[in-house]
Amino acid sequence: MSTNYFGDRAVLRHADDSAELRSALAAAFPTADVRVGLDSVLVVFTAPDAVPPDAVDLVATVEPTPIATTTGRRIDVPVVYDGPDLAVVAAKLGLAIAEFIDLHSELHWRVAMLGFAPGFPYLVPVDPTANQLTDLPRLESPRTKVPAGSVGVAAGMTCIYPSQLPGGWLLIGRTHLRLFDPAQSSPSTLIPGDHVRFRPSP
Amino acid sequence: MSVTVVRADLSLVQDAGRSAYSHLGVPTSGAWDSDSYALANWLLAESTLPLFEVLGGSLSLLFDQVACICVVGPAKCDLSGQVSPIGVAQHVPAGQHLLVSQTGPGPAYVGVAGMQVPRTLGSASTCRSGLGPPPISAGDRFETQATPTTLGRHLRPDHVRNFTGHINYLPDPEVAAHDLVDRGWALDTIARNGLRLRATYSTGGETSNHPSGPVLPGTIQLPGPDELIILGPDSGPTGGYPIAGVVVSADLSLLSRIPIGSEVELRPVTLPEAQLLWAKRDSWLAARQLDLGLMT
Repeated sequence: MSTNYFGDRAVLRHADDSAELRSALAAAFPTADVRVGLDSVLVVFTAPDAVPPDAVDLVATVEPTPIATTTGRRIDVPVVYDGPDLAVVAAKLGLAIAEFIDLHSELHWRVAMLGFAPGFPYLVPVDPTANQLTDLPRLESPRTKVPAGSVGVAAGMTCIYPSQLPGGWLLIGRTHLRLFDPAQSSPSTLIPGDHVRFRPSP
Repeated sequence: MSVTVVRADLSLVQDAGRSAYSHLGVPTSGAWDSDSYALANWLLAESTLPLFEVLGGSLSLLFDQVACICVVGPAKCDLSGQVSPIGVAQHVPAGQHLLVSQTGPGPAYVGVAGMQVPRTLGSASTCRSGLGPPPISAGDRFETQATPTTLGRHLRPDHVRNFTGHINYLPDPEVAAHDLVDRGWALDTIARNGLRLRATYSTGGETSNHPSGPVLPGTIQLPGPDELIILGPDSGPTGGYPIAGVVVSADLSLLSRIPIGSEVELRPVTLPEAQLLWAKRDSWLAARQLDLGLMT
């Protein structure tokens, strides 16, 4: 897993446990902006002359903080499984709709990253070998308006739209859980590393 | 004391942006031309004052009390019918109208000393994702606090860098840099979330997606074989396109000043060269600042 400069004011480290690494890097570099992707973390310093001379070595050697020992947060998301693509998704997996709902709601999910829009979580199965959703595509023509609260699936992941946005994920349901509130000191309901279960709701 | 917006075609409020929330999917935002932002703040002896960023047309302001203001960037300025200078800290008497017309390319900035704007997630910046105040419109009113005047501070007339045909960038080691350098690029569209460039001749080739990873303003993405995106301040903190490199920090402000249709040469540099360009930016900014020492 490599660590390299990314431009002149940031250092990129590839890692499978990017959410856990983010916490550790944010603690190690308190003035830096630490961004997290699915399999990498980017430490962005305020300017090129604010990057420590040995930044690559420093970033490469920080040990991930196990999430269980920091937040260990487990969040239930109530879902009404009535999305416009629910039948298509179940059919693509060779399942009845009820079987797909069981599959999605029995999986243990983990927030790998937030991106695309404020509070938009990308969730992956905690146990990647249990992932039957890997081959699900995105829509060829994304929808111009996906309602807030929509729950989507694509490419082995699931997501929740925190606000009305354009989007190409296949929509399987909706939740009333509010995901992002900029007036709060912790504006995002979900943070990288959180464990999530989807609970079927009538 | 307050300032009231009489007319605004396309103006936003921008400050240094919000970088502490990018792991929650929040764009950085902030002034598109951070060089001009720094110079306007120097004129008014501030450091993170929210400014009006005039992106198109005119911005007209009415002051109910005397105020200390400045205009920075490509614009014409008129104070109650009289031509008014650019790049100068100056008083506007009570009851007068300031009319700023952006001439481009790129944004002009209007600073009002002591202007108060509510902050969302640590910043007053407008972001297209809905954070911060909406775009400025007629009738908006902002409180101002009394501040020491900075009369006597002004900028050299050449205080806005002009785009001269090339942008320096650090190539991603995994992408063959000659693919970018050997080809001409032309600017297709420009907005605060990014610039879209089109190859002046096609080489074909394949497109691919890769796992969504972190990005930052200045990141050069390859969404298709003959297309480039250079991310701007309102871009999201992650992206799924292959990455070709990152524009040097010293050239980020220049990205806001490229006229549509321009040919753009992407010139690869090394890390020490990029660091040197950053040091030169500091001295370039310092050399733009002239102080007659009239500060009270």
